[in-house]
Amino acid sequence: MFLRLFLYRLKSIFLQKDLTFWTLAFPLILGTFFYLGFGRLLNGTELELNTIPAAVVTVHENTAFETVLKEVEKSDGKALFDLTFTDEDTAIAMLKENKATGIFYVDATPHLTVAENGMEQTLMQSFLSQYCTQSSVFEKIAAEHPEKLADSIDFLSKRHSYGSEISLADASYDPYMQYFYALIAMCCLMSVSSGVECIGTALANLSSLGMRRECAPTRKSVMILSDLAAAFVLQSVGVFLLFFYLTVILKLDFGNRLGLSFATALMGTLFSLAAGVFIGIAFKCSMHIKMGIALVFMMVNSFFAGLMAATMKDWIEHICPLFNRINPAALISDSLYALNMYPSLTRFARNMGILAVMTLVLCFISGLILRRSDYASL
Amino acid sequence: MAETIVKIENLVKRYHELVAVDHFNLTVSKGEILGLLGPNGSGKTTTMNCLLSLLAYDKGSIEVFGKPMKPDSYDLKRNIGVVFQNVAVFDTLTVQENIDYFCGLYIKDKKLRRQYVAEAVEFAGLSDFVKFYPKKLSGGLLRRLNIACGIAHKPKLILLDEPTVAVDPQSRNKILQGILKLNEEGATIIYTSHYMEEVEQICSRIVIMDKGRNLANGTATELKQLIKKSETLTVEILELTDTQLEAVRRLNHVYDVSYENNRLTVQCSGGSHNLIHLLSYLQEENIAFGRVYSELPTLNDVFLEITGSELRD
Repeated sequence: MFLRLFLYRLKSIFLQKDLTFWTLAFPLILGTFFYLGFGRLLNGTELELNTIPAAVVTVHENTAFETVLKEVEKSDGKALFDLTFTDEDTAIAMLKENKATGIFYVDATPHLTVAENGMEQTLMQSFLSQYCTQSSVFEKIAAEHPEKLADSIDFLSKRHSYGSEISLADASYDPYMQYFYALIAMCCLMSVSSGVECIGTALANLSSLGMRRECAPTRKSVMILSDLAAAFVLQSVGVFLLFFYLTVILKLDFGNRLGLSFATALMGTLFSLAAGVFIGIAFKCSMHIKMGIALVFMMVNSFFAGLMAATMKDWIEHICPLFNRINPAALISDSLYALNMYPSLTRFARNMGILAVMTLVLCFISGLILRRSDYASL
Repeated sequence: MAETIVKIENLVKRYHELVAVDHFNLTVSKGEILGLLGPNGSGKTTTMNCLLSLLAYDKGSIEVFGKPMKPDSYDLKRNIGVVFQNVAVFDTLTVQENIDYFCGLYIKDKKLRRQYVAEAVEFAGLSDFVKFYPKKLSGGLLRRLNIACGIAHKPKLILLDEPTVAVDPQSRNKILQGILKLNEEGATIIYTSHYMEEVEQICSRIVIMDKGRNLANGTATELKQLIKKSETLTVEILELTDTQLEAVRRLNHVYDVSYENNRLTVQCSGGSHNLIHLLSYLQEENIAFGRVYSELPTLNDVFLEITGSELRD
């Protein structure tokens, strides 16, 4: 009986176009957008820029700035600027004819003229700002050790960090991966709607289908469990596809514990179905409102788990750590992070334990309400 | 004496201040087609839902097949088929799969179920549509699928709650013929409707409900005998004086007359040959007349006389 009901429901669920879109396709689409947004940052590749043609007009002698400009021009690899030292009239003509992107004025305080806005102009402005900030250092080095100026420019032009996050679990760490952890968490939490839908088609006070099914000599629990099992399979396929897409197609690094990462997502899916069942049974309102509650539950938890801002979870950890302990999306994304970053499974096990307990509590309460309920109206 | 299949005693169901079912009594015997007739909101569906133990009720008792009906009376539910007013099928299962799904909730034996499903498909005239999804079916076919899902397991008691709402006349006729066939095969049927013609056409006994109460019950003929009116005569007459109208009023068994828009309407109570008496009078008085109609009372007349309002109000 259970198997037959399960198989029929499986077919029924897989043919629900809207449900399969949100479960199977939407996470992939969102993942693609994330990848397109953060792809270059995730791969560590830098933007490719052409050498910027620029004119240089000397108004007042400034050896340090001139030396820095020349050093930048002849730097190893692709030069940042292609400089033309000329008078102001020629420089302006070059600017008008688009032969120069901008004009550097060598003066006591160097300044810049550009004809329009754009990436290259911004880079020139950025270069000039950086020089002005560090001008005293450059001027001193140019005066005292001109032969060291090239090395100094190279050193000061790079950003230095004296602390960095590294993985102890043989995986590369990237802060942008938080978005993908949150995406997987959101994909799991989408099962909340499926849980609500299962209850909607099983209870007489929520749908005609529920009425017909409750008239049958089959236990309500058997029907609900077969529906939930079918929903779990669909959601698991969705999660698997997302993992496959992220790891195999987009080649994102989820560490060497993919099995446990997938198990985390399955646990999250199980919790979400239980939460959906709870919303379906405990809230005394129409199906539309229940679906709305499920959607809000999913979006709010995903938001606070860092789906829209990667640092959100850290911020919550500072102001209200308890919320991170009970937010299922945060627990899922944190488990994925912990599996990727730590050799120990303690943090992962703690998160999974909390999710399991919450799942059991929701199932217990839902079962209790269901057993005691009779319908005052249909 | 026929076996009692359903026995409802003193059923009361309240929705806060509203009394939806008010001390309602009903007995249905084996082999009957009982029509539960009443306007929308009269408590028919609520009574059905209480009978099926879908709804908790405030007072009274319900027995089906001689046993109290409870939400977990699976042995009783096994022999009950239900067709609800709203179509209740899975949109993403085909016609055959839907019937098989619902039949499977009652019948575990695979071979028997396959046979029952085939018979239900045949019964509902859906043989050409077994691979169709419900969205591809017309309104009438969808209703027939709804019925097939409710009766495929060959129940001994079938409850049909307005199964012909929004159905075209051809499909409606097919559905009604199907219900008669189910009854011939041994099923006891409770049929709720506010279409008096349907109830009169197929039901062996009729219960008239209004405001949750059982107002009258009996066969269609018995119910019509309860009321004063036995016949309505209508005659097209170009001209009729007040004196002549009074003379018509004085004819035997006539209790009400009216003359409007060149139509004389005469209400008769009991008696026979009322039409002959009226036409004889018109000929004696040399009153020219056109078309003549004679109408027997309908269930609507019964309802009107009992409640003071039209059944279709």
